[in-house]
This record gives sequence, structure tokens and C-alpha cells, in this order.
Amino acid sequence: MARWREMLNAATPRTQLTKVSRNGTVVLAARARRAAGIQPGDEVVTIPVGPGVVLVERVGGGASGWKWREFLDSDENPLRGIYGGDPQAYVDELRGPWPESTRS
Amino acid sequence: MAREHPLVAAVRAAGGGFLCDTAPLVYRLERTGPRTLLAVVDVLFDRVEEGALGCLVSVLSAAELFVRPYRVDPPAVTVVDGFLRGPNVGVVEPSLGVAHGAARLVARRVVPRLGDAIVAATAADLGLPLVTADRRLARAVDGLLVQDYV
Repeated sequence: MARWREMLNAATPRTQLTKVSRNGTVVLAARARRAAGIQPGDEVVTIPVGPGVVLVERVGGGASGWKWREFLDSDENPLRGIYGGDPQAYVDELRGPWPESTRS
Repeated sequence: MAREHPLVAAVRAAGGGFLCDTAPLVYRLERTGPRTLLAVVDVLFDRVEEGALGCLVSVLSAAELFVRPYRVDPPAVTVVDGFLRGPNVGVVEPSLGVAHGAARLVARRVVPRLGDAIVAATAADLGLPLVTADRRLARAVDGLLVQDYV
């Protein structure tokens, strides 16, 4: 395996490995399905978004009756607390310090 | 009929669409921070989810939202991606007009940080109000500061 690929995989570990079948079928990991609100029977489209990367998108947007707010408040939300608990501090970290002379 | 929240009313008065800076989006997604502030952000985004308001996001904010998830938790990337593709939410592609607007803001020292300027210029280019949690940016470009609506 190429070194860059090892480095990439180490940097972004995948939670569950699945294999593409002979006819192209793949199993969507339960966690990914829950996070995306995709349920059995939903219709999806697949969109290639880069080399080795395919996006699976539910047709018609969000699942019926599925609310972002409920999901975000649930234990399933992997974003809970990951930005550090101070959103503006997170933004300031990325954008750099606001020059003192122009602070209001 | 319940009285409309002042921030929702302010966005409605401006046409119903708004350009959201990164921090309010983080409040919505991360679910941490002062409860009163979270409540204001939730009122706004609940209306977006209902289809009463439309939320546009600068590509810069979208990138900022992805940074931490890419660092720590790949499944979190899919949640941010799904949110940005959700109903009544859209990511604004970069344009030369936004580049000019952002450059003017920095050159004239209205907004010192280029990242802030790109977000503010995106809002101006679209003619939408900017919703932000940054008091300095809100004052500089007359944006809607979520803390003012707590």
C-alpha cells in the first residue's frame, strides 16, 4: 500500500469496513444511516464526489418525520462538544486574532 | 397566534433569507454553550427546517465546520455534510464579486480579518442579513448579533 494512503487512512480512520459486491451492492453502516436519517425502503442516489469517494443521498431530502433538532439533541449526534464548547473561540482559532487596534 | 421571535422577525423583514456565520451554526450542531443563546439559535434554525426561512452559508464557513470533524471523528463529517445539504440550507459558491467585496472591507479596515470579510461580503453580495455571534463583526457590518436577541 502506498505510504500516502497509509497516512491518509491513519489520519481518517473509518469506523466500519464494508465490501463492494460483484454487482456493486454495499451495506451502509448503521451509524452512518442513523446519522443521515436514511431508513429501510428509502430511495437514494449515489454521486461520485472524488477519486474513491461516493456520496449516498436520500431522494427528496430528509427522511419524513425526521427532525434535525431531535437528531442533534440525541446521543447519536457525533458533533456534540467536538468544537470545544465555545463556537466563537473555535472561529477565532481558524481566522486568527482580531487586531487590537480595531477591536470595538 | 404566538408572537414571533424578534430575530426571526428581523430575518423575515429582510426577505426571509439570511447568511449565517460559522459560530451560530456550531451552536446548532454542537449543542453546547449558554442555554439562552442556544435557544435563540434553535428558534432560527427550527424555522429554517420548517421552510419558513432560508439559510445560506459561505463556503468559508462550510470549510470551517468541516475542520474539527475531519480531525477527530469521520462520521461527524457526514453529519455536517448532511446538514449543509438539508432542506432550506445552501452553500454559496465563491465568486469574483465576493472577492472584490471582501478585499474592499479589509483594505478599508472595516473588517480586519479576511475570513470575516469573505463571510460579510458573501452576505452583501446576496443582499441578505448576516447572522453572527461575533460582536465585532456585527458592529462593523451591521449584522444581526444573536446575543442581542437573548
